[in-house]
Amino acid sequence: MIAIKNVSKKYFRETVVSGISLAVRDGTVFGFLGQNGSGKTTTMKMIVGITAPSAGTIEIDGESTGDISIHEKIGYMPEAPYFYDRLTGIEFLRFSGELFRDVTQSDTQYENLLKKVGIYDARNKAIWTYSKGMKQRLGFAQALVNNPKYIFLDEPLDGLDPIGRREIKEIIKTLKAEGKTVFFNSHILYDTEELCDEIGIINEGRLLYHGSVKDFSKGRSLEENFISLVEKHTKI
Amino acid sequence: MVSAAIRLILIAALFGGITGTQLLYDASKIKFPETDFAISPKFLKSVDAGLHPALASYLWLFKTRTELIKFLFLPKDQQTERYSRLSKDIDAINTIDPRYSAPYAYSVMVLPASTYVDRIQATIDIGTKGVKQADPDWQIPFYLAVTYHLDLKDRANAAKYFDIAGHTPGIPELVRIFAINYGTIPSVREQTKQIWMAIYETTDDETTKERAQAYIIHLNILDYLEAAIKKYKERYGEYPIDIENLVAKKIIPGIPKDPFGFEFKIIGGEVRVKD
Amino acid sequence: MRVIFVIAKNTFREAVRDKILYAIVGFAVLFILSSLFIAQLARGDIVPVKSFGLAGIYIFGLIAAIFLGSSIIYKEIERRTLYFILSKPVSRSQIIIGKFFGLLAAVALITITMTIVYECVVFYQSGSFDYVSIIAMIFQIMEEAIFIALLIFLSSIVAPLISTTCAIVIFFVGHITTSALAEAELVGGISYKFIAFVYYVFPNLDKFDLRSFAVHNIPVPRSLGIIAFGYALLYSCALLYCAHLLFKRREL
Repeated sequence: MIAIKNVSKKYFRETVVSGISLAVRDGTVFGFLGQNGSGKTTTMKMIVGITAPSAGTIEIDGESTGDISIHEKIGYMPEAPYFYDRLTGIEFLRFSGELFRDVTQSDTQYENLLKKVGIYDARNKAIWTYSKGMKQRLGFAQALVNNPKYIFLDEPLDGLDPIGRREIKEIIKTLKAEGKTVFFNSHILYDTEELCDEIGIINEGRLLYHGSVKDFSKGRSLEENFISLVEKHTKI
Repeated sequence: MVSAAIRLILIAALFGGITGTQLLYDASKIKFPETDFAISPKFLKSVDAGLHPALASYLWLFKTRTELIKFLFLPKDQQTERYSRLSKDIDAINTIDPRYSAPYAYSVMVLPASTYVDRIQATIDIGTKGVKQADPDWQIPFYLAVTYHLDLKDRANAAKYFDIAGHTPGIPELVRIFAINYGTIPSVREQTKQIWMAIYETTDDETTKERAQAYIIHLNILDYLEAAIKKYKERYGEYPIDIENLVAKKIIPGIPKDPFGFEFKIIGGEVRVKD
Repeated sequence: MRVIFVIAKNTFREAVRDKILYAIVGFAVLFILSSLFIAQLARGDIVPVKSFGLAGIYIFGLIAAIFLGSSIIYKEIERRTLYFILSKPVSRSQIIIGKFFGLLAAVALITITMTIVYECVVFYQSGSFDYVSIIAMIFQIMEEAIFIALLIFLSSIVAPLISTTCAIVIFFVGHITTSALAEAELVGGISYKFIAFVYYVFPNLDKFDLRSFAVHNIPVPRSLGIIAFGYALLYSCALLYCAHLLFKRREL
């Protein structure tokens, strides 16, 4: 379980995340939705340990995210990922895998991962030659390199063409079927409806809703409800 | 097509103009005022990031050595003023890298050939400093010894520095044998001739080589004339009055031409240069 | 240790694949080879050949270190390549140390390459190898270690242009302070105290300069090796530790 309790984040005097509490059950897909600049990425960065919360606690599988050992169980894909341009795709995956204590993947396994995300043919090309969509797929691949129990994806479908989006959505469904927990940020709502068991809606750093998609939608489209909720809570 | 041609012409015109301006500058021979070493060598040494040998080499090879060569060909009246500047430059290089031997070695080799009024003292100063602080370089004590022998007639110091040179690694064998045996050579003239022969064989400075060759020829002429005088004495029981007598009595076919243009006289059976 | 090695390996690989680095090494090799022309000018005197060659190794080694090191952490933060690393079981200190060793390996490789070219030039010119310059190369790598640690420290707090400028200034200060202290001793007072402070706090780089020893074939005192190694180790550790502290507090 991912347990976020009363987490806030302040950069200098500006509060970007305020008092967020939510729990994500194991084996579910959780969509964290919000406008651009609402605090989604900051929240995810706190969960995966890139930055520390100013207040509150975050635990994954009962362990604090301040403990480095929990990172053996998580995979993270940053938004619009940049990687080491002069490495090839396979070299980058190998590098990512070698950072884990318990990962002893062979090159065949890395290649299979690249096949899974659809960039196997570019495995020996330098990353600087990759398109945005290819980098997005590589980002996804490195998030899975350690076969993590918890996977965090920041805007995973950004920059992908329709076929790419379908492929990634299928992978997310497969991961769920394998019992993994997927937590992803998005501002594209119709993908969320299809994939998520539960959603959280954040606006201006505050959690506005946490619960099932069905309960939130209540017969209307997710997008309509989202817009009216956000507009209601947006400070003018 | 037309605009591409215009662009090409414009680029060619611009570069042509640049080259032309440079040629004009070269032809005008505008002289920039010469200045002394404006920056103190101690300061230079502290800001050269530890690259003392490279800085010293650069200053010597690209600046001071050329200045020294030009100095040698200056008229006598300009040399005093120019030497004051030159000696500061050489001092600067010695301060930046005291062990760099080339400035000392070259200076002691060529300075005596100049017409600078204090050339001998300057040579002694540079040479003595070089022997003390530079990397072992046989040319420094060797040419210092040459100066003591030829210009100061100081055989004692000449012997001392020839001995140092003789025991310096890297000295050519011919020169080493001469340097070690300098004190045992019977006559001063023979010592002098061997000095010039050693210089002729080892130097790659053209001016010095020509000078050495001239001295060797000059000294050989003196030996040749004295041998002729001895022959005259054996035949006629007295010394000839002048060189022409040797020719008249067919001891020698003619008076040899001295490379320095000297004429000779005979005093007491010995050849002397005419004043 | 394993993680540090992995990061170092990756940093090294990234560094040696940078095309601009090849240009730097290319210019360095040309510069060293041009000392053959110096040999002609110096009429066979090997001293200028060695001094220019060693100067080239030094200058281009430092240029490579500055080029690689001035933006190393800053770029990772700006381009967010750090994000995916920090999500893995990697601590910030491991990143700092791994980056340091990776960069040092790259710069050491460049220095060794230039030294090989230099030895070929010296052998061609004089018929013998310059063994003292190999010790000079080792000392230069120790100096480069301090420099790289300094650049990592600077790049974790300021932008590349500022860290480059600061590094160059500190480099010159590191060479000037010995003579400045000697001069200040004559003056005394607060000037002396200030320069003494700078002398002891800023990296003092004179002790790594074996180029004069190599050029003039002077044997290197054994104690110098121990002192220089100790100084390089301690100073690098101090800088890397400070970099780690700053980096730890840095909000990403």
